[in-house]
Amino acid sequence: MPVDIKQFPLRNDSGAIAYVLKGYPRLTDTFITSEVYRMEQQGLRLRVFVIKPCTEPVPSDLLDKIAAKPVYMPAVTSMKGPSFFKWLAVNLKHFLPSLRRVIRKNPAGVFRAAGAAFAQAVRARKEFWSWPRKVYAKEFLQAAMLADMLAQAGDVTHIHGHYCHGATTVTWLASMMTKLPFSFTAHAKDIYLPSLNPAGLLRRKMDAARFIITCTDANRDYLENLGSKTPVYCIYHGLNAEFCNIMKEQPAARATNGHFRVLGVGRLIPKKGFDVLVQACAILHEKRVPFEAIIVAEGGEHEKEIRRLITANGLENSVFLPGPMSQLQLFDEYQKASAFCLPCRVLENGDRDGIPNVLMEAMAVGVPVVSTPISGIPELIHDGVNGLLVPSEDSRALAQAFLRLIRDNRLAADLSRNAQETIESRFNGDKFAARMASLFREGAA
Amino acid sequence: MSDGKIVMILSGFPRRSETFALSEILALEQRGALAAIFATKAGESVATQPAGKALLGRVHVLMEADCARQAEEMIRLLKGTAVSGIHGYFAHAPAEVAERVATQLGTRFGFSIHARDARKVAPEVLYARARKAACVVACNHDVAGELRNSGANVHLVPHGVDLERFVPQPFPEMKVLKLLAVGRLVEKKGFHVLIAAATRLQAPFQLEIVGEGPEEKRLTELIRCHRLESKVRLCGPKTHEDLPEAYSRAHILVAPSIVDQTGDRDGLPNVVLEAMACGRPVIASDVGAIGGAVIHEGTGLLTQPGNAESLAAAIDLLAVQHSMLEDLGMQARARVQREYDIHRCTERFHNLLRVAYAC
Repeated sequence: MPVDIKQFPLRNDSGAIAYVLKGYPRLTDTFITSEVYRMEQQGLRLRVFVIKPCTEPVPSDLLDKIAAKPVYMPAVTSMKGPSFFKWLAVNLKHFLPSLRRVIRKNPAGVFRAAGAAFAQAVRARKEFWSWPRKVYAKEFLQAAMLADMLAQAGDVTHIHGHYCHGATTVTWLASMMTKLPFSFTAHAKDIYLPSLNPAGLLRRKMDAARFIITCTDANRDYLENLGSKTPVYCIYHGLNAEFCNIMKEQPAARATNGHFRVLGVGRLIPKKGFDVLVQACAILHEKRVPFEAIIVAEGGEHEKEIRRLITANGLENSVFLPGPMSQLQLFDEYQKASAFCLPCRVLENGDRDGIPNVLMEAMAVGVPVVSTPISGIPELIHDGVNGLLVPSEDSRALAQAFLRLIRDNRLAADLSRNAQETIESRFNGDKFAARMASLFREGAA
Repeated sequence: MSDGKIVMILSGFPRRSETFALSEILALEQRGALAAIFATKAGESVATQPAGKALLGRVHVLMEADCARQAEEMIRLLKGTAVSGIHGYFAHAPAEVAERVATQLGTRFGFSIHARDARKVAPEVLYARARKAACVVACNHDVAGELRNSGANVHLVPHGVDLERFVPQPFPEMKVLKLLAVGRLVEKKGFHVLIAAATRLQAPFQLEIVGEGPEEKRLTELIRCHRLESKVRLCGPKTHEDLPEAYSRAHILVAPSIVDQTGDRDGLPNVVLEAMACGRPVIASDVGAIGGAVIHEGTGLLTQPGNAESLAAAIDLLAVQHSMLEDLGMQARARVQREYDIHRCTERFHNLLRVAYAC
């Protein structure tokens, strides 16, 4: 690459970075709120664009401290039921003014984006004789609206999408329309479910992006092996900002009530493996080991099965399923727990967790953790050093791990201390935020 | 989780120019992941920390023989040891021995691949081995990309740099632009291109080339016939202890590497990362995996390999743009902190092997 003097000087005034999110704020994505907050603390100017209107109220002090106020796109009706043209008749009117303005500004870019969206719709059709997939028409329209919003904002120099399926597709198409460079963060399901990025879509987006961020080395390895030349960076989430603040304000004082109290946190979905936890509890119950288990959970497709397992094993009085909690309430639960358990599994369709943020939170408070060696978890937990790892699906080994913790106080204390040290030294969220900010500065240069 | 541990096979170990090996193996040893360490050749004597000494005491040098015999010897020695996987630290002989032993013992094997070892094996043999391996670790994206094209699953783990030893220092006074180049004096380092570029430079400058090697005579000759003796100095080799100081005295590190006549080329030279860790911008040719660390106009400037004009233009550019110099240097340090922290890299190496060999 020969040097071109005309390109200097660069980034005298670094512009704003546009974050494109599917939903925001979300309780299950507190790390995104935390990231936005931290990027602003790092001195970056952010604008937040949200594709789906937000419905759930999220209790968070952090939101008020964020300068970038989210800009929402209009809601669209579901594409599942009606025919495409009926859908278009209802929804197109929201997008037409934007589309018109964007075409006037950069007709070639819009044409290219339309071509890319249509080609993808054809490639991803379910069977040879099926119609092109409708979802890409929707994403094209949303991209046009995003491009229009970016043009109106006027100061954006780089676009960044979170989750590498829908939001990134919109980002990619909008990048074609505006000629702005883009990047994206890939997390979990969005990477491993082929149905979310059918027919090589992920690879195409990777090729087009400036760089890609992901939150575990395991993810990075997987993405790099897709063969794109675009650099993939692993930046851990680290402990989220709100949790750090809580820990600062309330020095950790673990207070167990004498019972062996197992805590699990996460949605009730199969990849979290809470069914294995309940079965391990059943084994403890059979052995007449006194214990209680609390699974702090938002409902999910696995809820019925979990509840059935609890009743079938007669565990109604020892396994409890309180609903979702605020970070502050959760902090309290961590302090009361004698062990934290997340028996994650890799699903048949490939879906899996990365490094679950709740594992980091439990470790930060000093709760001995028990999990499985899948995906990014071995990057966080070293078996017998700062936590225990048992094979996934193995409720017997899990029960055994609990018994070890019950019987061996020294072990529990060592794990607890080492876990806290791990989080302090290797999963410091502010450090990772500084790295991510440097990446944006470098990449947007 | 399982009782077995990892058996590591190295080539000549230790070697002065391969200090990265020592830190990676040490990371495994300290976390109790190693069952045994073998070397297919004897190494050099290298001064190391006490921890390193204990490690070197564990290295068993196999007798000089072909890979089949060495594998037999290893199997004999490993009798009674619980082994979960066998890792060849280089892609040539160590990997071959690892594969043979693993096949015999019915365990998994894998290997690391760097730069020169990749070219000591016929490509088709290498690709087949990579596809069979449970774990292939490449240290730069040049060689990783090559293997991925063959259908193997490759993990990219760079050798990091010690961020506590190489720390940013203020730039020296800006009377003359001080350039530094470090490396063995061999063709692929491209120092002759650098000297040719030096004749075209407009800004006042001083260039120091650190290192020794077979090309020394030719380079001295070249400097003399361009009458650059007062500005360009070949200062011979420096120890690792002296390098941080050398970086701090320079404004820019130049890495003018080229692909040599045999097709050999640099992966990602350590000096590039070290200079970046010291907050120095790097002007480098876009060869091998250098472009993975040196981002054009981000952490340094990239030039066309072998093109003295382009190299001279890049140097002259930074000679006038002082603010640029500091800016690039700062970004360089940030990038190394983010991507090439040695603790983070060895940690990753350890995690990877633990998962691949399920231990």
